[in-house]
Amino acid sequence: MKRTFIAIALLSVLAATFSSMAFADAMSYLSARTQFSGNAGYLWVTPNSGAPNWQGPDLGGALTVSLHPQFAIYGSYDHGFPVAGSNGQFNIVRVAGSYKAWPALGVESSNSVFVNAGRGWFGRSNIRAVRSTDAGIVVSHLFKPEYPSMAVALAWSHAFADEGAGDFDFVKLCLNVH
Amino acid sequence: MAFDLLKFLTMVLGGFGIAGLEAEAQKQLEKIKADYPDVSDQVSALESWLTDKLAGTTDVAKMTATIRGIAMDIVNGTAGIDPQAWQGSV
Repeated sequence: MKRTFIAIALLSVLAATFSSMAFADAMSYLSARTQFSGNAGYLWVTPNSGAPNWQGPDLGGALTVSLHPQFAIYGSYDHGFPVAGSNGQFNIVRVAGSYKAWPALGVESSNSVFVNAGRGWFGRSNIRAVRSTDAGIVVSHLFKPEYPSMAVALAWSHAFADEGAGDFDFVKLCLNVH
Repeated sequence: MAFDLLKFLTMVLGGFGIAGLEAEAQKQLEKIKADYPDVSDQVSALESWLTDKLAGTTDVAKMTATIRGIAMDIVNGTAGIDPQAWQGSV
């Protein structure tokens, strides 16, 4: 039920946005709002389904479409390298909606708080081991005015795993560049 | 019957369990403070800061109204030509 709600909400926003546009207008709209970003940091994953906890350095990237100054949709990929080699590497793919909860619209601040929710796919050697509906909070600090494209971010997410897998959390501290 | 966006959003947010998510975050913060007592003061400071900034976001009715406003801006094309650079995608 949860994943159906999330999928319907995200698709409805995209469909409503593009339904009244010509193809060229839609492409122009997308190019003005689309952004690639990369990040590097450290990832912690709590135990789930009998598997031990996981932690290690992490590299990630995201494609973000900012539909509104307070709302964006993004797809991201993360690859984690384990501290202990026996734990294997870790992969995360997410598609989520992100709501800028603070500061309020029109208020300038180097710090921001985002609340996000979406779908996630996880695994140590692939992304098919666990699927989930997940939600989380991101605290971000932009290094502006010196480096306005660079931010340090702390993200916490809770994964409501699909049937057969236990829920778990993942935390990431990283430097993000866009 | 006409589609009621407000009712739909309330159902989505309520169904997703915003309050449940807040409880889960609280549980994790307590666990971190217990596991890493050296940084418990810093974690408490972060918790206090977040609680202050996110006041109202776990209120389904208030959040529903905000998201409805955002959705209407997007649908009506009044969300701005070039929305601000985004930093939430981590």
